[in-house]
Amino acid sequence: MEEKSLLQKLPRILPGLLFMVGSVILLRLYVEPWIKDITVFGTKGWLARELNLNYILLSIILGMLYRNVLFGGKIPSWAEEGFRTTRLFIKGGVIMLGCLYTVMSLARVGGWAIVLILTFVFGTVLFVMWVGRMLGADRSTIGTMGAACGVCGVSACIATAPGVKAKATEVAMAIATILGFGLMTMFISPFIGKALGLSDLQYGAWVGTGILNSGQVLATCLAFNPTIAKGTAVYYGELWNLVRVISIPFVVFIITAWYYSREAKEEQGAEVQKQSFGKILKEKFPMFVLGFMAMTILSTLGLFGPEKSETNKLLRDAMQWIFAIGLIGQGAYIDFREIKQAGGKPLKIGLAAGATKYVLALIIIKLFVPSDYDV
Amino acid sequence: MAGAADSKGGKMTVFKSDRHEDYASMVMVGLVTAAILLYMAFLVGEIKLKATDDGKVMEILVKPDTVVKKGDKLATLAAKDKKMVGGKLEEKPVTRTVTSTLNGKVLSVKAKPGDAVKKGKDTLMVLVPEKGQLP
Repeated sequence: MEEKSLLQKLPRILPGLLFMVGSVILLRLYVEPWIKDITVFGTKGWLARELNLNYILLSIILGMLYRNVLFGGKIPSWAEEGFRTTRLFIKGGVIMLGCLYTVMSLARVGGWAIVLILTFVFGTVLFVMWVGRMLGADRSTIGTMGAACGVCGVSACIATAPGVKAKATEVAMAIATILGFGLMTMFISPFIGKALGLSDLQYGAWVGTGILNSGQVLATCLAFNPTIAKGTAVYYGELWNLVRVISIPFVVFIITAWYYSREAKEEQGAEVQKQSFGKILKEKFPMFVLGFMAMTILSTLGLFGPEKSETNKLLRDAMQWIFAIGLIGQGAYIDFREIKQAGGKPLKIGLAAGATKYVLALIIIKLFVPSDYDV
Repeated sequence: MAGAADSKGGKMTVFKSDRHEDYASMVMVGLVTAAILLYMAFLVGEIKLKATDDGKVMEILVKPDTVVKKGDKLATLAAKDKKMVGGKLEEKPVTRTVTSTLNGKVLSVKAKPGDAVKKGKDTLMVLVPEKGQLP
């Protein structure tokens, strides 16, 4: 049967798509501000900050509720075609993410700090690949978990997922693992830091390297020293975390390239030795990852206005809306039964990588990072 | 991502292939980005200039209708430079100069000397950007 054109499919796409868009409007205009206003443990916005309940997680959770509760375990036929646009929006969001990064931002951090942070980022990715292979995990699980543990959790995981063809369940497991690990370390880190007599610089550098989520880095630093000023834990933690975040485009590119080179090897056996990276890139590499890299380059060249400008803010806002639409659909492809079937492999990989990074970062920082240094 | 999860149940994209979907996402982002850049460069009417530090307004150096260029001094704020030195918080009073990030004209001034302002929250003045630049 001849495949219908996109225009012919439009009437079947619209109901599901409008349902997703409507949900995002509700979520971003009403639910998200309400969550930011709730006071928990005497702190306004605790849920949003500490549990990272921002538009990303809220969209995924809402999508999961649609499928598993409202739709009774299966996306209904009237919405099916619309929900198939999920990846279009996720990929679009990933490309737009590129316009928020500039390579120049790295210049703000000292050279030795960049080397140390990037060693941890790429070291963790390699470690995850090794542990994942030992446990016989899927390449897509390894890819998402590598990005999630190597960089700063949720954003990196979501940006990598479409490139490595990760299942929605794998993404959910990776996010749950890193947030769970971050929550645990958030409570114990201040005690460890005080017990070891870490300075603000050492503590900030450790937390900025070892904790996997940006929001949790901020909270953990403030728990150690609530002062916000130059030279405090939060100042250094955020600075170190920034370098990790800037490395996202490179991590996504490398993991995706690794994924496709492994896939090509499996498909063609020994013949792959003759296959150039350029050919893999041309035939298989997801083009949207190149779009993401291109946006980072354009942003570095200043084509989207100065950093933190009004133009930048509007681009970020548009990216969040595009992502949110895709993430509602993403959530709707997470079946609770599949999470059970996935077993504990992603959890084991995530915890092994997270704990190793956390402990190793502490040892290296305690040994080599001075207690006071003007970054 | 969602695709593989339901691949058994059928095709996971409304496009002919993943590659087509990649191109479609690039076109979509291209259009959105172009629309935003065009809007910001040519259509946006006014830009609110927010306080760059917590502190007090010392001086407002421009008046409504003043034509400003990128880098021109617009106001000064009395702020505090906080720094942790040897485990102790040092606070030093400093004067911060707020400069224009764009070429344009001052539409109105919202703050006056003596006003307490919060970084990124309180508006100092409203500027009308010159057409063709990204504010």
